[in-house]
Amino acid sequence: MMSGIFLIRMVGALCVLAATTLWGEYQSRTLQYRYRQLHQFRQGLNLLQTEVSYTVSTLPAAFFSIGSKLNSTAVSELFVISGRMMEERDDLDSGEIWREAVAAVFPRTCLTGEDRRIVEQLAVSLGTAHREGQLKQIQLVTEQVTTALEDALEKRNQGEKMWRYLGLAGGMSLVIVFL
Amino acid sequence: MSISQKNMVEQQLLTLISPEVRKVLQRVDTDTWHKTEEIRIRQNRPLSLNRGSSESFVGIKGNLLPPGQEVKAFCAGKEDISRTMQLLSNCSMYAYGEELRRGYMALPGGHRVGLCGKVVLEEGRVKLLSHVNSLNFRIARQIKGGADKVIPFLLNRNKQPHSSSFKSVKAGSPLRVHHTLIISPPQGGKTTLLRDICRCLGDGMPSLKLPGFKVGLVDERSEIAGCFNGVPQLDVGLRTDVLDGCPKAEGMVMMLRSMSPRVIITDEIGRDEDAGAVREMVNAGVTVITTAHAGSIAELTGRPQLYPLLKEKFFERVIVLSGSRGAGTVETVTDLITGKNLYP
Repeated sequence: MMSGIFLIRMVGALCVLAATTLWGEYQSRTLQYRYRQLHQFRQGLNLLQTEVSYTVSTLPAAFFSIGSKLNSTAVSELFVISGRMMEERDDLDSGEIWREAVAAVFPRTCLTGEDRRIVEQLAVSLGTAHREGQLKQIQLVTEQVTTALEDALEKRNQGEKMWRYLGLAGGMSLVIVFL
Repeated sequence: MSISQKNMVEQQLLTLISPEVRKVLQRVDTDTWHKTEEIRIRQNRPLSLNRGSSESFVGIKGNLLPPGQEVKAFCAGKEDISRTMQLLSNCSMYAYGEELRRGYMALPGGHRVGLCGKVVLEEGRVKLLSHVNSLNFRIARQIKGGADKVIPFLLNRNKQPHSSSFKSVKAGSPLRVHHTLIISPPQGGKTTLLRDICRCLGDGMPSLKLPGFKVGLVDERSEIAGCFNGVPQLDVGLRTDVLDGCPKAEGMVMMLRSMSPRVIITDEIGRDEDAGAVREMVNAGVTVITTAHAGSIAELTGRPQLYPLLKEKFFERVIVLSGSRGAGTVETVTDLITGKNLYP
């Protein structure tokens, strides 16, 4: 009888420990992915700058090209979805299309609300400005992403291990209290 | 224009126009499309269709309005113009800097759209066009067979070399084409005739025992071949090489050096460098066929850049067109060497 109760307690303790550890891991990964996604978005912007200034590709072609060069992630999907919508939708301008694509992809990213605001900044004059104006706008967004990237790096360095330990330690504390 | 051609224009042009304006234009009947040459969209002003010399406003139901009924016309707004520009540029205005500088864009099917707006200058030269507020879609239509009547006058059956290029034409050289200038006032049908001459010479005409020639077409404004992304959208002949968007004078020299053409065709000469390039071509033994704005040969002599070419008889034939019986009506064909009228 005693051993049965002990066993149930042990299983419960393990479950609590696993849950809190996974929660800590999730929080840690969120910080990692936010940094990675912002980094990829900045890569995308650099590629876009090249496409606009040198190859003078149209936006859909540039977006498809960028989407294929970035690893298959939410960020590459953002470019591909925008490119596809630009080819298919004639009731929206390219800025509106970009915002719609951001809205569709954002829930699958680890970006913050402030990051989303920066990403949406690309919609301003997207496809409607002349070459110099377009490049300046891309440059402006790139600079904002770089600032966000520094913040993401700092938070990742500070929080990555902390969340893992916190998950494990929090779980162990709960187990001790309950046992 | 048959129904299928109307459909073709609808597919090629109307898809590039904002949905609101497109809806109105889709209601325009087939007969109206038959004669339509231009679609004009002006910001906050009535939508209109140009048919020959008349321009009619279009009502919301796609009907053409009689004069004085402008208030019932459909007016395109700023949003319509900006949406149309997005469709024309494939959401990429930055990729069309050169077109915005020149004030027109070539479209699939050989059509063109002329643009008006705020001109941005840089060091006194046009840098680009911004805030576009007027669009003029010019519907390309090719009239095949329009040159059949004039081609016989352009052929030198006697194989006589031209006086200005006798050194470059060897004895017994094959059939050659006369250096020809086509003149008419604006919208007189010069480009249409030139395109068909180009097609006839490039294809050859078995009925006239005319073999096909290697033709070099220098199409500075993409009007003759209607190139889109460098590919001719209109029939300019099987043996015709097209240099699209290239300045005429430079293009003629490039064509001569790279493509060894027998005939060089270009549109609307008028500057000193164009005249210089024509001299160079004629002296290189290449036939030049070109056009110029003028109502008659007498008017042409008043143009300082072109007069020396006439005086020195660089051109052997001058074709005068008018719109007296529709655009492209051939009024006269003159032999400039003898001064005789060959037609009528």
